Amino acid sequence: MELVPQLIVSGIAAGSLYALVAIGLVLIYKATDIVNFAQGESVTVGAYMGWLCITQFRLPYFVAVVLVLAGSALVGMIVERVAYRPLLKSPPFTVILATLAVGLIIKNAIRLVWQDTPRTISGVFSAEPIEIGSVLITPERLAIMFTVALVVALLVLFFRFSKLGKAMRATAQSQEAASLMGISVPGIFSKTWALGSALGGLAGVLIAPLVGINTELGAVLVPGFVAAVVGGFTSIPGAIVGGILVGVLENLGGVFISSSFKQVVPFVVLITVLMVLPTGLFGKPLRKAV
Amino acid sequence: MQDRRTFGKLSAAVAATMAFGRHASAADEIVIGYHGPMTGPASWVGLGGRDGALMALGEINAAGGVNGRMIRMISYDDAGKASEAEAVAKKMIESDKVFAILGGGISNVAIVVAEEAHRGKVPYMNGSGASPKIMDLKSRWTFSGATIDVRDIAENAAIFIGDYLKVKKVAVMNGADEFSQSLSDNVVRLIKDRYGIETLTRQRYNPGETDFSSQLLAVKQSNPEYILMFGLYVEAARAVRQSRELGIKTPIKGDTSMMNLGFLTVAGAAAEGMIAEYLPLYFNGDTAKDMVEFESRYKKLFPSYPVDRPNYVDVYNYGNMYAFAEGMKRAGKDLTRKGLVEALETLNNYQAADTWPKAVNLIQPLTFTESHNGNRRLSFFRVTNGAFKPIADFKVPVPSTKFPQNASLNW
Amino acid sequence: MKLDGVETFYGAVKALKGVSFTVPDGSIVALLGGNGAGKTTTLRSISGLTTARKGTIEFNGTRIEKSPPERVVGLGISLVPQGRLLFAELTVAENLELGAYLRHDSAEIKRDIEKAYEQFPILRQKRAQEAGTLSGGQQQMVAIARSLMSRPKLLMLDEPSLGLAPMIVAEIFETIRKIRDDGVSILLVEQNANMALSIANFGYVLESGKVVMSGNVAQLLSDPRVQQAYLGQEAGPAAPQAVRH
Repeated sequence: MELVPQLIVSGIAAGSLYALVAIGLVLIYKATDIVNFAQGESVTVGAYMGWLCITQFRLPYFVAVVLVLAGSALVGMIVERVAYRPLLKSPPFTVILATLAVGLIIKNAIRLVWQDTPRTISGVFSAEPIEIGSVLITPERLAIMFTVALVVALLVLFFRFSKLGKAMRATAQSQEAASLMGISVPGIFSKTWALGSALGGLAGVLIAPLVGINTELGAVLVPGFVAAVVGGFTSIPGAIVGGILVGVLENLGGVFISSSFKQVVPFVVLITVLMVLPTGLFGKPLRKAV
Repeated sequence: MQDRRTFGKLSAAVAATMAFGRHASAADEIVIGYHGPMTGPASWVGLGGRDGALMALGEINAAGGVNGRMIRMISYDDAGKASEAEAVAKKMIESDKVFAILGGGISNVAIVVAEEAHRGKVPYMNGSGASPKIMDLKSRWTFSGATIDVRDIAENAAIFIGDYLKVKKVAVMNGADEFSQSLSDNVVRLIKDRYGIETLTRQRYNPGETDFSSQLLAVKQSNPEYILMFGLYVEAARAVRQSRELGIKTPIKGDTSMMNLGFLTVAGAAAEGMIAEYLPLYFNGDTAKDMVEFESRYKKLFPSYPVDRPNYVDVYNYGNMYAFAEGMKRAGKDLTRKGLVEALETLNNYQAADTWPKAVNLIQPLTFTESHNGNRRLSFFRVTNGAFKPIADFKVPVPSTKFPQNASLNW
Repeated sequence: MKLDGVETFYGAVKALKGVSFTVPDGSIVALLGGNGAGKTTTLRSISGLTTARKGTIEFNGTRIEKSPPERVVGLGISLVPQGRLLFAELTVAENLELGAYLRHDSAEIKRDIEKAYEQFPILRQKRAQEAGTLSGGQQQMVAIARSLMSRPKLLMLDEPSLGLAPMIVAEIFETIRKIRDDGVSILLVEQNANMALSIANFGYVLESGKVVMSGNVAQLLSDPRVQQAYLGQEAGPAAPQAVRH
């Protein structure tokens, strides 16, 4: 094993998950101008749904993943309808506070039902490391990285070519113009929250076999958030680069500076990026409808 | 504040175990207050502490109570916060006028309640706090029962590492919480001073972390004979699992917080062979007679609890409640608070089953004759076939830590 | 289309104080008036961006005063908003496609996009470019073409000449006339009254949220009040401040 390459590869593996969380944040922010502080809880919800599917209903892992995507999307739509739609005309700050509240409610509701006892599900890929070059990686981690890459590719295609994807991009740029095209803006919001929530849920069910399931799983919001900001908060490629950067830098900082600073490193990067490039690595200066 | 919903459900269950609890008039009752975090991340501590005590109390009342009087317990959620705990303590002492208080809290909460109890001259049993802050408190009203001082934990661990594992080079990973930090600091110092064991690297991890590759790779790079892990069991379990992903084959010794079914659940097969210490004599699912009996009674009483209950705080306070009851019994018919304190100070190498026929022994014997710190020893376990099994061929001698002697305590 | 006693508020401010007028089928109706007269508010009320609090708006026999914009578009009313509101980061082609959002006849949509490129050849060249990178005149073309993609029966334009060079303005107005000739009714809001009346069939003059004058073009052109207030200066984008009264 060579230390630095291993740190980088393991960092990318961790970072791909941060990226998935970051993308969920970015999608919702772009469409609605809201920073969703409950995105971490959608990860938690996805993990618990996966656990229910697999251990309670005895479904295969792949079926569970599909059900988690659908279930998380549904939860996202319901939460949007109940908690955020009534605040549609409120300032974004109000809605951001509402997302914090939603996150706490979800977390505590889960805790009421299942306490803090961690659960786990077994994945389908091996957790035994294989050696590639001078680094070790498990098929399980590779599968997660591949899934994230696949999801990103599908998202890019979705936004570039599908009618709904274009409508979402249009709505993100000007809600008024979008409605003049006949696009139902509340409908787009609902679908955006569904998509964001589904991505969070996917992250949850992907990571659950590796790290277990408890109500604190939503803490992954923090590196995800840093990744999103580093990437400009409005860019999917930015979120991916941000996520991987955070993962790799955590690892390098953790070893070469101190493990006490491991989680501080991303914030240092964040502040540096924002000082040099106020709109993030991939952010564009604010230019919406013209 | 009071967790009425669950408490209602449980008290119904407890009532069913009380053969003649109904006859006792309020004047004949001895009311014990209980506090612990029953909501929030530490709720497993508070709920465990409450339910273990309730179970013992049900058995005690079923056996006729203490000198003919029934014990009743009222429980409050302190949310693990000092500010809440102060309000809860005042309410128990001033308005509920409880006879004594049992705690299921963490140290910084226990100290607040202990201070209130001292002011109000109410006996207080620290159920699970392990910090020197509470152990060195010079109050005659406060006892620490089944729990063990963090310095004693460190001594127990150091002796085990030096005398049983007999290693010379270790790497340390510890949680960033205060408990794990100070415990690991103490162990690192003790193994160095007493056995010359070198700590090659120290790595920290934070609550909520999901990836430990940097810490584990730094450990791997240092090439230790053993990895010592401290604290935050969910994160530790993730790290143990990930250590195998990174090809780390070095054996791992955890600590008491990892003696937890949740730990085994998350760490999975990677936990096999791992060592950890624990305060109770057995871990869940052990086939020893006392543990089998305890678990079957517990599950009858609390049928809806998840698989990892009873936890160790259940076990602590089961024992602590018996110790309290024994003190009350020894204090005699004219029970006073001062009398209870003096009677508790007569407990020497005491186990519940010595005097209570229904009781089972799950904790180390308690001794309050010299100091109010009743227990000094830990048991060591190894994960074997996915379960924590006691290591039979090693018994730690009583550690050297000095605690305030009874004569030096103030009323 | 017919407005009757429409009152619209922005918060507590009454922007329209009972506006009534009609747009006959196949005609160009010009809505004139100074800044703050309520012209834009009238268009917003019709399109559903702002909901009228009182009065009725009727289009082909359907009451639409409470309808959200996406429904109004579906009924055949399309607005080219002031400032164009293009999707700046989407390509020209994507902007046009979104104009046809409510349609499902993809072959016909393709044909209409072709038609738009024939009408504005420059847009064919720029079709893969982000709309935000186009010049003002080109952006106005995209905005009009995008609105036409919904195949409206009534096209509303809000200040299409604003900020554009005179030559481009002439071209835009020629286009508007052609659209009318294809059978689409036009409701045109313009501060450039000369230009507007040069292609309009009817005109209404708004002042402080009320219609104060109406008539066919000849009548308005000969009215001394109109001449003094709206036609008394050079046509062009510099006009806005001068006509305030």
